[in-house]
Amino acid sequence: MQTEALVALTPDDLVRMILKKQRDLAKALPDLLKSREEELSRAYQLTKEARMAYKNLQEEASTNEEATTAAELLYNEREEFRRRSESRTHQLRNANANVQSTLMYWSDEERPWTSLLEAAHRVAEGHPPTFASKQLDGGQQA
Amino acid sequence: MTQKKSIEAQLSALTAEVTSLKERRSIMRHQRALNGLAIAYAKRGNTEPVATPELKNSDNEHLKKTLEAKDEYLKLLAQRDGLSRNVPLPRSTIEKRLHHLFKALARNTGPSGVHPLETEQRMAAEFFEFQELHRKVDLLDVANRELTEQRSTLQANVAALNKEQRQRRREEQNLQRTLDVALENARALRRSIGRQQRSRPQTVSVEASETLMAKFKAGDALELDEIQAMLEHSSLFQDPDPTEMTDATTEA
Repeated sequence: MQTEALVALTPDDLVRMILKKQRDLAKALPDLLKSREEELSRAYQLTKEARMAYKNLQEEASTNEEATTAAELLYNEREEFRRRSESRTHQLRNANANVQSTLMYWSDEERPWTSLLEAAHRVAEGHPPTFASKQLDGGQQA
Repeated sequence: MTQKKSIEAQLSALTAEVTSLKERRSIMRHQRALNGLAIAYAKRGNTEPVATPELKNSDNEHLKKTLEAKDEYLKLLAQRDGLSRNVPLPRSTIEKRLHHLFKALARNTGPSGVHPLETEQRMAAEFFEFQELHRKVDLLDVANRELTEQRSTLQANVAALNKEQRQRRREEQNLQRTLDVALENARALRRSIGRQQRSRPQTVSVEASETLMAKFKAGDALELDEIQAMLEHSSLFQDPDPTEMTDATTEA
């Protein structure tokens, strides 16, 4: 989108675009979450199996060092996969929760515009900007 | 006598001319000083309009225009600075930030692009603020353009005033030369009068005095200036025969 179009965008236009994005996400996220959760339970299962195999080899005091090392490596690999899967599922759950709350906020016709437009009104009235000044301070500190 | 009067008349006319020339020179110098003040005011970074009534009430067109141009320039400068004070970021940064915020708010970039409600609210408020800032930048650009144009106008006026100053200086130099010549002529005339006063006895020639004396002796009526000429001439007093003169007078 061109800068001129962005500047001409009204608050209502922006909210409509945000809502569209949130609705699309709200539609897509449950399926994604479902597949992630399936992946996570599979990862748990695989990790559990690998851990048992590794433990058994350890308890039997197997002299086959190669088999024990291979079982350990497999366990570590699956544990790593399980952690990644758990993290991704957790992120997706958060995203889903965020989408629900933001969707509710942006859909609400009674949303408080005052707080959203306060900074813009201040700039329009000739006061120093809030966010831009913060960004400038951050830039100078950096 | 007639020659002295003529010289005195010339001197008087010349003195009047010198006075008039001096007055003109004084006016020109004053005007040049005022122009100089106006040029200095226009060129320096003064931020306060000049309050000198003489400058303000001057009827010099170039000077008036220069002062007006400078006042307008100061007004535009104040406007521009007022706008600029509240726009702490350059246009490019503002546009970059607007695009970034829009993308974060309205573009679907997958689950990783989902933000908490508070973050979305803050980003939306920031987006609206940056929109307003962008409008301010547009106004600032217009103000900058106007300021540049006004600066050109001011410079053109100062150039015209400088040209006028050079012309005035030349005129003043010419006037000074005329004045110097007039003063020199006046001095010459005064010297001439002085010389005449010193050589008063020779003002009536011997021949003329003898003619007058003969006329006097013959009992003819003398004009007033002829009597004065005879009195001024020393030979009158060298005549030792007052009886003859008395007789002649009696006879007359």
